[in-house]
Parts: sequence; structure tokens; C-alpha cells
Amino acid sequence: MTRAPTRRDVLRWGALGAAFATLPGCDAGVWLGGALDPLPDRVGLLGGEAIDPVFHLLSRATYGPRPGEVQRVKRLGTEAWIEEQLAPEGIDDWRLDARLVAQCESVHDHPNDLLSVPNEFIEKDLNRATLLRAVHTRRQLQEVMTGFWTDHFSIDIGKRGCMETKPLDDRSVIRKHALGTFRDLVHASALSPAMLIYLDGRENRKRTPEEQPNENYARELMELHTLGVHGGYTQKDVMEAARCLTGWTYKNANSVGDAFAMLSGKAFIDGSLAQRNVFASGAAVFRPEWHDDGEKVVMGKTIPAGGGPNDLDELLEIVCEHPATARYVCSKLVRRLVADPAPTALVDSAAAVFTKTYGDIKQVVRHLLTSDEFAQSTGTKVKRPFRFVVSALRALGAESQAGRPEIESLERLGHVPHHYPTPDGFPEEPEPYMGTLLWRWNFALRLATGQLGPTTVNLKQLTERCGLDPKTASPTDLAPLLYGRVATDAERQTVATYEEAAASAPRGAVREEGVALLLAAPAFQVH
Amino acid sequence: MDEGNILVVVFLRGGVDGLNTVIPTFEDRYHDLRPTLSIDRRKAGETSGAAVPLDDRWALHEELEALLPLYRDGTLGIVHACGSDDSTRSHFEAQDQMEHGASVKTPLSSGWAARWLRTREDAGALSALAFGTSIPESLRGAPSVTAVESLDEIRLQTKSGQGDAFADALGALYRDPAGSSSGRRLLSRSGTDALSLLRRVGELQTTAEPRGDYPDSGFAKSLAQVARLLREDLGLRVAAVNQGGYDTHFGQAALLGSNLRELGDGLAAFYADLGSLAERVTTVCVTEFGRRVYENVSLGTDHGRGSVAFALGGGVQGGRVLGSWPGLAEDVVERPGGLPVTTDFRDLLWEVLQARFGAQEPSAVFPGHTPKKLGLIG
Repeated sequence: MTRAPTRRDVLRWGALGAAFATLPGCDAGVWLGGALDPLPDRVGLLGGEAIDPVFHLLSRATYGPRPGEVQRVKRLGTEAWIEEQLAPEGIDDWRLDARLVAQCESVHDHPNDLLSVPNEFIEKDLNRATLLRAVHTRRQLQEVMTGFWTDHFSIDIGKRGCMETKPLDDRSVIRKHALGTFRDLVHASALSPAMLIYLDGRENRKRTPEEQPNENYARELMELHTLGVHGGYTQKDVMEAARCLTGWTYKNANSVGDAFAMLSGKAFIDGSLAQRNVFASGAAVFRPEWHDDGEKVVMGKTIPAGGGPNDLDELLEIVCEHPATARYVCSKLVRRLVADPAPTALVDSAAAVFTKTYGDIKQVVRHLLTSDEFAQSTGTKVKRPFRFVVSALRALGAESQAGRPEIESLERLGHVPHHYPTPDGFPEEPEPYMGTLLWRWNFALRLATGQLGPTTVNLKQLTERCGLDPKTASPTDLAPLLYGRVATDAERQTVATYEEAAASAPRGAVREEGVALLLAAPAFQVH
Repeated sequence: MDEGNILVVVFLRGGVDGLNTVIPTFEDRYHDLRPTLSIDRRKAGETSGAAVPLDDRWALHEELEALLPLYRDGTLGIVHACGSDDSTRSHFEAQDQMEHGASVKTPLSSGWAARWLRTREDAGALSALAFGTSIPESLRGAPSVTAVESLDEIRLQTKSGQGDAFADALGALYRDPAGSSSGRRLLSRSGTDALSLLRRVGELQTTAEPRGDYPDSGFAKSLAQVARLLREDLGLRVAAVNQGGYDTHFGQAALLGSNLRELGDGLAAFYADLGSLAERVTTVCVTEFGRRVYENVSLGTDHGRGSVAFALGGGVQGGRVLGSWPGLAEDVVERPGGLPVTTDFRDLLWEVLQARFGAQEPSAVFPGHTPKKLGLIG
């Protein structure tokens, strides 16, 4: 395999080649470097009346199949495809990487470099990168898992200080460990500047006996990140956990002393931390004078006095190894990837894999995707709005520019990534999203009729590549790309009735709106 | 009694610090427990700063001063030490419990406002609206509910101009299929609701513009839209509005102040805008829990128990701070640091439903709870 280009390479090419141009009056640069995901010359259409099992796999383990993807996976074999996706580092994704460098520069930057960048730029880059990745990355399973952990360790970038630190959290915590080890993920998150800011960990200190630690992060660590609210901990355990975490803090390079500490590569702190590579992940620091170094008892386990920064590891050991954590995390994974409510037997077996492998996320995901329950769960989950938008773009082979029109749709649908106002993350269940179906329908209309700004679909070309004649084909002939099965008689009838009722309007627009109907229909709201 | 009455439920998310919102200035321990965060009573002759005295015991946070005239004329009533019996002190558990109208003994999975609407025969397509982009738990399971930001956006963006035919086609697609999964049934229900809303709004003869002197906040914008919908007389019964940001673990003084200003100014503008309609509109503001009676090291407060609740408008016999005050003595406080709850939030909600909407059967809305009379709503 050819070496994936580094960011520096890409920037050099950019200077040489002009693959990228910013057009006046357009909020986005428009990528001129060729399609990220050109349509295959020939797109096979599934012919079955039931949802195809490979289509089902791709509907859960990716953000939805693109035209031709089902056939590629059938050629490769599902097991081989799952293994390919479980090793994202082996998948060449350089076209997307190049585009991210060109169009979303700030997502690659360190928090200190982002201090001088206006928040709206950072936000725009992060939104665009998240959407571009979901639509176009070939490392789809990693992206789906990144989405899962982004919700699990939810950070609202609207909180002051989170904007410039979330890009680092996204790449060095969430994405890096999305298919890694749960314990590493929790550890990285605990020391992530964005998390230290978001849940006030950086303010958690006990310098005098009178001071009361700030227990915000300690509580959410137990309730949301590891044990779950019914995981058997008490208010006292939360307070003890908060004591363990006192002294871990983060400051950006705004203050001279901190800047010096970072530039010199040395902490104004305990020397052992440099060895633990804390600085490599950002700038979490441990201030011994803020730490409550007395003995703690968390969930019946004693952490002896004098542990200093190691109290963090002791605490994470206790909560990560607790059986409640395996069950809680696995039940959330089952709900996301398989079925909601989660089948108990599958949660049990997944928790057993989790425990046996010390929280190896890959093994748990493999277990879930190859389970009987997974095979039986076809079309039972309601898509959340982000998945609806992304899967629609993918199903029609759209070339997304991830600009304002798409982000506006996500805003109206209540599902802009990194914007959930509370630390429990966007809900998994469909009910809270059911008040905005009208805006899904409008997204379907805008996408199919070319009203999404620079993001376009070429329905004529897609129809031709499917081996159909655009002049005579019905929109419902494209149903297999959207539903993994042929259209039902009722669906054909509804679209035909619409075409008749709208016969006074231009034929091309009505055809496109026939496709919009398929995207707006209940059959495309489930996966 | 209930001809055209409307309930506006404002959920104050994050856990409002009741002690610094409606301040017990008579409690010496309040000042001892909060050496830096406690707020003094405004002295006679002063016109700004400190807290505005309501009577010789209580004072209102200065950023809520816009509500003072409403308190004085009896439009606004306050219940202190109000809350639920949730002991997890988790935002999500406590919010869900409150929005479900539940208790530890009686966990429920549908919303209290939804259950109440289900007891009514007149609950149509526009009987419940959630302002914003998602449906709150209090309306989960309602006969019909849509999340809206503005009336103007309720239309289908067809290119052909054939919106009605497109809506008809959607109606056919969303019809409940036989033997379908729970997800498909949910979609059918929600899709049918959205189509009804679309039709009703399409039938409106006039679209009254938002008016009134509202401050520039998302909360105030939601209230402006509520007022606009009320004037349209679409059969709205319940509007759910959120205001967030009360989770003041850190740097509480500034955060709480700006949130309360948004709340007070928004509600004052709303009631000014409603004019003669105000008598029909009862607003209640609740929060999932209060905060610790003592401050933490980062000039904030952590999760506590009891907090304050507000009721405004139609039927409210206000100008009073109600609720039995438990005090802040060490042996009274619910460890760690929780103000004991002496008024169950369901008592307040039930009183509104009973007095304003003629609700008869508390067990249909708050199963397992026997409401106690509070005497705030008549």
C-alpha cells in the first residue's frame, strides 16, 4: 500500500496544485480536487423483497451503504469486511484526509494554537469535519464508534473553553481509542483538557480541610462514563472519588507561567507526570498542593493515603473493573448497534467478552455484529436525525460539501454533533426526535431536488449506472439503494399517485420529489 | 373554568440554586454556610445591588427584579423547599422523574403532561407543543406533540409547488402498517401528527407577527412564539419551554445571575405581551433539584435537594412565598447539604390542573400520589 500522505505533504501539494478554491459568496471552500466518492461505473441493485442481510450490516456498522457498497462487501465476504473495518489504520483514507486539511484546518490544531482562532471558525471546522467524515470516510466503523463514544463522553462545545479543546479530545481521546481499550479511553478522557473544563475537574481542589471538592466530574464518571446510575455507588462514593481527583487541572497558555511550563516541556508539577506523557495529550497537570492526599474508600476499596497523582489510576481501576461497568457499557453498545431495548442475553454475553478481554472494544463490537440477535434486528431501530441526514447523502451517492445547508438541517433537527446541552449525550431512544419529522421531510426534498447549496446528487447518472433508463424509470426503482429491498406495491402506488396529482408541474421536479418521498417515508427512517 | 385555559411549563435545567434565587435573609446559617456566595438583603434607600426584599423574611435575586411588579400584584407566587424525592442527585434521573411526575416508589415512563392530555377529549393536533428541537419527557406519550421554533417554518419545501399532494403521499406512507414494529408505530403516530399540524397551520387565515418587547434570548423567543400561537387560538393546551444552564458547580454568581435575568426578563415580557389573554395562561417553573446549602471550593455549589418553584398568571393567588420552611440547621439538612423537600412538586402541578382545567382524578396523572392542598392556585 502506498504511504498515506502527511498533512505537510498535503499542504505542499495545495501550494503547488490549486486543488482547492474559495469561491466568493460561498461559505465553504469548494473542493475541486475530484470526487471523494465517485459512483462506481456499474451499480448493482438488490432484487429481494426482504431487507438484504449485508445491507443490514452496513446500515448499522456504517452510516449507511453508498451505491455499490453492498456488492463490494458481498464479494469480500462479511467476516473479512468486519475485520477490515476493525483495523481502520490499514484503510487508505487519504482523499478524505487531504480534504479535511484543506477545508477543516483547525480540527488538527492544539488548544493553545486555537486560542487565537475565533470560536465560530473552530465550530464550523468541527461540524464540517464530523459530517464529511461520516459521509465519506472509508473507516466507517471507526466513525460509527467515534459517534458512540462522542455521545458517551459528551462534551458541549458551547461551554466556554470547550471549543478550543474539543478538537484535541475528538482526535486524541475519542477517535484514537474508539476501537481500543475502554480503560485507556476513560483514562484519556479523564485527562482531556476539554473534559477537565466541561465537567469542572480543573476546579476540583482541596487545599484546606474546609474546602469542599467540586464533584461534578466524579459523579458523571461514575454515573455516565462507567458504572451507570444504578451501578451500586453511593453519594459518599461520589465524594470520595472527587477527593481522589483533586489536583488534576488544566490551564491554557494564556498565563505566562503555564506557557513557560509547556514550552520547556516541564511541568510546574510532579516530575513523574512528564514520563506519563500527560503533555503529549494536551496540558493536563497535577498540582500536588491541591490534592487531598488522605486515605479514600471508594465502593468498599481503600486507596491508601499518599497516592498523589496515582489516586486517579486507582480510582479508574476500581470503576472500570467493576462488573456494573461492563454491563452498563455493553448495554449501551447493544442499544446502539443491535436493538433497543437491549436483549438481556446479548448484554450478558457481551459483558462477558468485555470482562474477559479487559474492555477490548474491538472484541465486543465483533461479538455484537456477528451475534444472532444482530441478524434478527433488521430494520427495527429508528434512525436519529444525524444518521438520517448522513445515510440519505450516502444512499444517493451525494458529494457532500458539509456546508451551511446541511448544518442548518441538523440544527433544526436538534442533532448537531458536540452540541448536546447536558453530559448524558444525545438520547439513544427515538421519542425525543419525533417532533421534527417535518424537517426530515424537508431535508429529503432539498437533497433530492438540488436545494442543498453546493452539495449535489446526480440522480440521472445514478439511475444510468444502475442500468436503468432515466426517461422511463420510476423513482421507486431506486428503492433497493435506500431500503435494501425492492419497493412494495403500496410504495409504488403512492409514488405513482403523487406523480399523477402533480402532473401539472415540471416532470423533472416531480421525479426528484418521488425520490424525496422514498427518503421521507418511514422505511428510510429505520435501519 | 377551563374554556381556553393554557398551561406553560418552564423547565429550568441544571438544578437551580433556590437559596440564592429566593433568599432566606432571616437565616444566619445561610451566611455562615456561604461565606462568599451568600447575598445580602438590599437596604432601605438603595436601588440596586444585593437582593430585593419581598417581605421581612425573603428577598429576590436582583436579576429577577423584572418580576417584582408581578409579585406585588399577586400574579407571581413562589413555593420554597419544593422538589421531588429523588436521591440520586443525577440531573437526568431527577429531570426524568420530575417530568414523568414520578417518585422513587412509583417510577413511570410517560410524561405527566402527556397523561393529563390523554384524559382530555379535546386533545387535538396542536394541543401540545414543545419549543425547541426535541420533545421533553413531560410530553412523552402525549396524544400529539410537535417541536417547533416558529410558525413560519411549518411548510413543505417542494420544488414543484405541489405541497398538498406531497403531504397526501406522506399520509399514505405513514399510515400505520399492520404487524409493524414499535419503531414503525411510533413513526406512524408522529408522522400523522406532523401532517395534522401542517394542515392546521396551512388553514390559518392570518399569521400574526410576533410582537411585544422581548429581550434577545432563546428563552424569550420561545415565549414570544407561545404568545403568538395563543392569539391564533389553535387549541393549544400545553406548551413546554426550557431554560438551561443552572448547573453552577463553578463560578456560580455570574452564571446564576445571567440565567435569572434571562428568566425574569423573559417572563415579564411574556405577561406584558399577553395583555388580556394573561388571565388564561398559567405558567409554572420547576427545576430538577436545588443545590447544596454550602458552597464548594470553586465558588459554586454541587447538587442538592429542594429548590424553588414559581407559578404565574391565570388563577395564581401570589404575592407570597409558600411552603413550609425547613431551616438550614445541621440536623435538618439532608446529607450531604440538601435542603429538605417540604412540598412535593406534584402538589403544585396538580393544583394547576385541578383549578384551571377541572382535572378530577389525580391518579390518572400522578398515580401513587395523593396531592396535598397548597392554596396557591384558585
